[in-house]
Amino acid sequence: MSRITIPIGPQHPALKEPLSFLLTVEGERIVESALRIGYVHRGLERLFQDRSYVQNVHIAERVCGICSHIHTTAYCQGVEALLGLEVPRRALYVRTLLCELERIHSHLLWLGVLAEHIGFTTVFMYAWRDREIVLDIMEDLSGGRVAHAVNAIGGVRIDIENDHIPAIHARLDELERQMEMFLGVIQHERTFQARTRGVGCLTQEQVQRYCVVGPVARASGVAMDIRRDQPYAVYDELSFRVITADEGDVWARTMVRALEIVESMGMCRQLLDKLPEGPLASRAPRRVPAGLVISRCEAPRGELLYVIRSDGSDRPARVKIRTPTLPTLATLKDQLRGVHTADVPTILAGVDLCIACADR
Amino acid sequence: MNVELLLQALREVLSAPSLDAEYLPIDETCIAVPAECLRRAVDVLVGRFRVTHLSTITAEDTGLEIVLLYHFWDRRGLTLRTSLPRDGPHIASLARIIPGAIFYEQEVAEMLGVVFDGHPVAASLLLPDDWEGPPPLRRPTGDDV
Amino acid sequence: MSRRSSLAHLLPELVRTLFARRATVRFPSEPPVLAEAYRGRGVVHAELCVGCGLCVRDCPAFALELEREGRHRFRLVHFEDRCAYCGQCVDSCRQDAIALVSEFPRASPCRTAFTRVLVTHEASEE
Repeated sequence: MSRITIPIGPQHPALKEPLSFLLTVEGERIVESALRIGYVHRGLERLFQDRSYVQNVHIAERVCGICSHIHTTAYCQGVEALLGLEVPRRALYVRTLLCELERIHSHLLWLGVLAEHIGFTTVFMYAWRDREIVLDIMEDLSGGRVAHAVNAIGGVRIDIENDHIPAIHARLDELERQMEMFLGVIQHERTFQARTRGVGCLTQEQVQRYCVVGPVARASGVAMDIRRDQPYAVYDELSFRVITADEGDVWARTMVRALEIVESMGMCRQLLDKLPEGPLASRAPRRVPAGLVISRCEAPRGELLYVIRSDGSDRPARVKIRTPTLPTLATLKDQLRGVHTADVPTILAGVDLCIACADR
Repeated sequence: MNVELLLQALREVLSAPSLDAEYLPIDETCIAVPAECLRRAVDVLVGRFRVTHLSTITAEDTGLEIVLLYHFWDRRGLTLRTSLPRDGPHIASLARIIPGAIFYEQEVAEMLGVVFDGHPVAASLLLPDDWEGPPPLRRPTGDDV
Repeated sequence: MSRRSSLAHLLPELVRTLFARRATVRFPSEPPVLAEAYRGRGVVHAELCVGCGLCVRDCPAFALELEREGRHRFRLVHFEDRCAYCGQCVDSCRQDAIALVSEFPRASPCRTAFTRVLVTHEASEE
């Protein structure tokens, strides 16, 4: 059988963001693949050097559209550490609440995208409809569905009124009922299982070799979660499970993310119930003393790093961002080798790529 | 991973009795090693201490030198710091010990012009194929820190 | 974990959805539904603005410009087409003079429509 090379992207109806694949197929099977990214590289690390720490909060927010809040969290946390600034507890609670709400909305978005890619449009529609519940909570709190502009260096810029808390709980109740429906469907729907079980398998060894993080790593049995391993914000005051699985296929990744949504909802409830009184921010000086900080957070897709070096001025000398999608991209060659072309969208969807994050 | 044991092992393998760790925010241990010893230090980390997770490689042109920071993770952060001259910087690639390093080295190579000896890929990661300018994160000459 | 078949989960959901209200807002013939905290059009309380320029300095999008002639004559200009509606100007202002109100910014075929003078101070010297 002869080999044909099929180019996919950078613009393609199946892709949400631009990236380019060259798939070499023999009949229906992929024999080799090559990947090219960088189509939305905006040079943000360089841009950070030309703006003040204050301005850069908003640049960090715009690295990614889906996980904007965790970027500002990692950035502000790093700058606060360089300043030796103590952030008020109430601010950290608000910050953490938005982190978990963002995780829920990101995972629901992903669930819809995966369902759409395997042809299960019903679940796509329902997932994105129910995601609106979380987006409404975030919009009522911050004014924005994404790009919430909640974080500031020293704390947060919004408050949670006590009389709004019952309304948020009610929305979480509604989402909980919907999650029961989703878990029931994906656990029992035979075509869903047929399309995702045994597809895109990664062993624990492969995950460690490529330094993969997040739900993809956890679905292959690597229990890495910054929220538990190096608790930031107020994760040390919350009770939650780190969800792992052993199968390492798209099915396992689906179960990990779905159960993480349930854990996140539990964390949101704990945060609302234990919200302490107090100020919302500490005053942050504009100039940051010279130093180096490595700030880690657990983004919806995994470990997010902000490395910031300050030189004593009001602008950072260097900001390095490592987003969780980058190591996952390295596994695609292995995942795509030998699979049916029909499984390509499933595998791409299964790893929850965020190319805006990877390219910066 | 026990930092004291790691320091002892590195001092022995690199013949550097004065090697020491400094502590950086947030809860990060940082050890400075000479560039020509980096590969051996990583061999110790991976081989003896089973630290396999490389979070990323940060590189900066400070105007005086190129600083490379290799950020490892083993329930806590560990950074190996090294520096290269601005003229003709090159260092051994970690690609064969840690395949996950390939993308990070590729990015440092295109953004700062560092050559990673033994790196398997010569292409750009983020920059367009027809990029003609200097490596974007290099400081223009004449700038100091 | 529920043991009902997937159809037993989907059918009630289908019925629920069939009788749900329309979610689409027929903008612009229907007004957009905005949250109270929505960061929309920028407005300045002219009597509070002292033309200090902190908002200009802290804007990440360079969307504000201050034109000064001495202490009492200045204009604060807002470039809506550069604005990211982040609200940093609101935080930076020490006089609480600037706000992003819950009003949807309008589109326009003409770019100059996006340059707005927010404040004009032309008080004569004492």
